[in-house]
Amino acid sequence: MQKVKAEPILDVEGLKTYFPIKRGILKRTVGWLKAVDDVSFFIRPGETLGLVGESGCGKTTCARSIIRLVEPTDGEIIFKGKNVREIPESEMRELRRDMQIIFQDPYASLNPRMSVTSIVGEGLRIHEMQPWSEIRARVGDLLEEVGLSRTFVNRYPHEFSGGQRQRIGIARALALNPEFIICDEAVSALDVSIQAQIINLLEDLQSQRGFAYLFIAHDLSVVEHISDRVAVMYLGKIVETATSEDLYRDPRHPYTIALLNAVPVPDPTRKKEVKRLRGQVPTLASLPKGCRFHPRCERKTGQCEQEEPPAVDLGNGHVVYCHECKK
Amino acid sequence: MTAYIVRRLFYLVPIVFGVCLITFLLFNVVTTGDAIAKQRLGQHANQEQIDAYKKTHGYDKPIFVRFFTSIYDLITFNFGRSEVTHQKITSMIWDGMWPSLSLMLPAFIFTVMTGITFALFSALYRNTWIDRTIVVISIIGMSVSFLAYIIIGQYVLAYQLKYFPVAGYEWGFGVFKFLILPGLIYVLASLGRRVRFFRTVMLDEINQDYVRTARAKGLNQNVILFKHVLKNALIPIITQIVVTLPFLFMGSLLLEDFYGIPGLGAMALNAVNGNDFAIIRALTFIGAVMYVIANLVGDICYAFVDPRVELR
Amino acid sequence: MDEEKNTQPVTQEVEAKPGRSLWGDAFHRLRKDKFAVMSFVIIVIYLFVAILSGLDWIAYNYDKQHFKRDKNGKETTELDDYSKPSLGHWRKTDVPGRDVYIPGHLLGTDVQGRDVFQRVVQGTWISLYVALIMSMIYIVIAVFLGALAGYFGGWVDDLIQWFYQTTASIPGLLLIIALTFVLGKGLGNVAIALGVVGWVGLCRLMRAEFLKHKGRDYVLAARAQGAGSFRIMFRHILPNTFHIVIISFSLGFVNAIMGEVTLTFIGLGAKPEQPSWGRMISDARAELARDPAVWWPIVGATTGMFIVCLAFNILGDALRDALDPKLKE
Repeated sequence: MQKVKAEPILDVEGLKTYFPIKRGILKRTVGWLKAVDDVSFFIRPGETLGLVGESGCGKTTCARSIIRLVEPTDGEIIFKGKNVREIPESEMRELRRDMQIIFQDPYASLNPRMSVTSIVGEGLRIHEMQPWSEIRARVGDLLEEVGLSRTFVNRYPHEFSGGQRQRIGIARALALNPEFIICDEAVSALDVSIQAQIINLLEDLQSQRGFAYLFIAHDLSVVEHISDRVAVMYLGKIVETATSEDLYRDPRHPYTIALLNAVPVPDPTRKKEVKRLRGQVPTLASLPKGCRFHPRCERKTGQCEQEEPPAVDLGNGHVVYCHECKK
Repeated sequence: MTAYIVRRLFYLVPIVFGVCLITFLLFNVVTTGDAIAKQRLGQHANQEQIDAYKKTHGYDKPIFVRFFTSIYDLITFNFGRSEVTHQKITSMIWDGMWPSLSLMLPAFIFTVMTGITFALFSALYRNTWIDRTIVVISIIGMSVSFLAYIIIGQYVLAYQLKYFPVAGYEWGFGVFKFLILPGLIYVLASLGRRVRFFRTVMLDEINQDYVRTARAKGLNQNVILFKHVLKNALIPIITQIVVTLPFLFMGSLLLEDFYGIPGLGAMALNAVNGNDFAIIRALTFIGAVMYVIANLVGDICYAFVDPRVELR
Repeated sequence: MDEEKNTQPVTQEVEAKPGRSLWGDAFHRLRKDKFAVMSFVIIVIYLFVAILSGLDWIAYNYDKQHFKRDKNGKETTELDDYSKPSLGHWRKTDVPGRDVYIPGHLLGTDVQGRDVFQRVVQGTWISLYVALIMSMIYIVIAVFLGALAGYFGGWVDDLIQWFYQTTASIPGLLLIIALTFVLGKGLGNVAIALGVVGWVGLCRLMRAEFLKHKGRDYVLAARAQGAGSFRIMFRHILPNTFHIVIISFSLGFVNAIMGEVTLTFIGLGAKPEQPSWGRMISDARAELARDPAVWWPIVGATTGMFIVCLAFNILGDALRDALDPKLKE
C-alpha cells in the first residue's frame, strides 16, 4: 500500500469554505462562519488519509467542499490534474464518476421511495444510459461485492438494518468504479460490532479495487486501523498531519495528545492518567485570535494568543501547527 | 420588534404593487378595452360607440400611461363611478360594508366561540364516542353545499315554518329579525370546518412533550387543558381569525343575495350580472389590501405571542 | 431484519420476495381504516358512474322530455313536468291479467319533464370533469413553482413567493369572476379559473417540503452521483413529497364540486340545459317557491353531492393520518 512516490490524485491547497451570517431588513452579511479555513492536504492513489476532529470542526464541510456539494469560498482542489473549483458544472458531473462519497447516516442517505436498483444504479443510468435490465444485473453484482444478497435488488431501504443500508451506500459509491472515495463518518452511526465489519469491508474493497480514501471520523481509534496518514482538524484548520504510525507513536500537538488520551484502552492493568480538555469549544463564527486552540491549551504562551502558529516540519511528512512544538 | 414590524411593512410594498399589477393586467391586457366595451354596450355596438366608450374610460391612452394612472387611482382609492348606476364606488362600498359586517361579524364570533367549545370537548374526551361524534358531525356538515344550506334553510324555516322573515333588511336595531336566519345558516355551514381545524390545533398541542410531562407530574387534566393547551393553541387560532376578518367585510355573495341584505356581497353579484367592471375591480383591490393588512396584523400578533418567531 | 442477522453471512437469505415500497406500506395501513375503505369504494363507484355517464352509456336519457301517460300507459302529448318521484305502478286494464306497468321517475321530473335521477347521475360526470381540470391545472402550477422556489432559493424563491402571496391576497371568488370575464362563461372556463386561483396553498406546502428535503443526505448523494437539478427535483424529492399532493388532491375535489355550485348559481358555470348539480340546486330557488313545492331536484342533487363529498373528506382525512400526520389545513 505504500506508494510514496506517486503523484497525488487529490491535492487540496488553502481550501476555505465560509458561510455568510445574514441579518437585518436587507439581509446584509454581518459575518462569516468559517467552517473550513485554509486547509491543505494531498492524497496519493490507493492511499487512505484519515481526517479526525470533534464534531462541528468542519470535517464534513471539508469533504463536501471537495466534491462541490458545498461551494468552497477559496482555495485549489486539484483532482487528477483538474481544478475542481474552476471546471463548469457539466464537466464536474463527469468528474463525479471518479470521486464518490459514503455518508454518515445510512438512514438519511438512501432515498426511501426508491428501490435498491434505482439507488445503486442511478450513476450508471446517468453516466452510461444503460437499460434498467442491464443495470439490475450490475447492481446485483455490486450487492454481492458488498456482502448482500443479489435478491435484494427490488427491495426498499426501510426493509434493511443500519449495517445493510450502509452496505447499499457503499455499493452505490462503487457503482461507477471511482478512483477516490470519501467516507464521511461512514461508520460513526453504526453499532460497534457492525463498525468493524464495515471497516473490514472497506479495506477489502480498497485492496481489490485500489482506490484512495479520505476517511473521516471523530474518533482516532477508528482511523488508526485503516489510514496510511492522518490529519487532525480543529475548528476548521488542520493542526497536525503525520503517517499513521508516527502520529500514534509520537503525537506532538496538544490537541492530538488530548484526543489520543481520550481513546479507551482495553487493558485493565494499565492505569492511565486521563487528561481532560478544559473549556468550551469556541464557535466557528467567533474564533479566538492567534492559535485557535489556545483557550483550551495547557501549554499556551503569550505568543499563542497573538499569532497564528506556523507549520513545523518534523520530517517524514509529519507537520504540526504549534508555537510550542518546535523540534 | 420594531425592526420586525418595519421589515414586514416594507414587505407590503411589492405585494400591493403585485395586486395593482394583476388587477391592471386582468382588465387591460387579458381583456382589452374593445372586449370590455363590447360587453358593456352589447354585441351590436358600432365602432363609434366603442371608440367613445374607450375614450371616456381612458383605453385610448398608451399602455404604460394607463398603468400608472391605474396604480395612482387604486392607491388613492379613487375607483370612479359604477358603470350601471353611475354612483361613486367609494360611497357604494362604504354603504355596503355595514350591512355585510352586521351579518357576518356576529355570525363569525358565534361560530368561533361554538367551534372552540366543541373542539375543547373533542380534545378533552379525545378518542371517546363524544370526540368521534363531534368529528363525524363536523365532516358531515362540511360535505353539504353552502347553497343547499341556504335554499333549504330558507324554505323550511322561513317559508314553511315561518319562524323568520324570508328576506329583507332595515337600518337600525329592527334589522335583528332579518339577520338571525342567515346568521344561523352561516354558523351551520362553517362550523364543521372550524371545529375540525381547532381540534387539530389543540390535539397538536396536547401531544407536545410538555403536556405529557405535566400529566406525568400529576397535574389536573383540566388545569393542563385550560391553562396550557388552550393558551398555546390560541396562537394559531387567533392568527386564523385575524386573517379571516377581511372576508367578513366583503360579505357573502350567496347569503346576501338570498336574504336581501344590501351588502358588498350582493353588490358584487349585481356587478357580475350587470358586467360592471369598475365595481369588480374596486372590490378586488380593496379585498386584497384588507387581506394583506390582516396578514400583517396576524403575523405581528404571532410574533408578540410566540417567542420562537425570529425577530431579526 | 434486525442487526443480529447481519452477523451471519447475509447471502443466506435467498428468498426473492419483492420489496414493499413506502406507498405499499401506507396503503396497507389505510386498509385497516374501514371508513377510509368505504369512502374509497364509494369514490370508485362514483368515478365509474361518472365515466359511464360521460360516455353516455348510462343516464343517456337525461335530456329526453317525458310526456304524461293515459290510463293505458300510452304517452300523451302533454309534457309531464314536475311529476313526483315514484317507482312506477301497475295499472289495471280492461283485459284481466294484462295489467300495464307504468314506469315512474325515481326522482320525478323537472320543469321540462326531464328525469331528475338521470340528470343527477349525469351531474357526477360534470363534477368529475370540473374537478379533474381544476386539479390538473393547480397541481401542475403548485408543484412546479413550489419545487423551483424551494429547491433553488435565492431570487427564484423571492419571485415565486411574491407571486403566490399576491395571488393569495386577491379574494378568490372575485379573481375567478374576473377571470371568467376574460375566459368567458361555461363549465370548462370555470374549472380553469378554479385551477388558476387554487394553487397557492399547495405551492406553499411544496416549497416548504422542497426546502426541507434539498439539504437531506439522499439528495446530496444523488448530486454526488452526477444527477442534475431537474432529476433531483422530480425524481428524488417529488416522490418523497408526493403524499402532500395526494392529500391536497383528495380534499381539493370537494372544493371543486362546491365551487361549481356557487359559480353556476352566480351564472358563470353550467348553462341552463346542462345537468350539473349546481344547476339543479340553483334552480331549486324557484322550484321551492311553487305550490306544491318541487323539492326533488334539490334533494337529489344535494344527496348525490353530499355522499361523494363526505367520502372525499373522510378519505382525505385518512390519507393525511396515514401519510403525514403533521399536516393541518
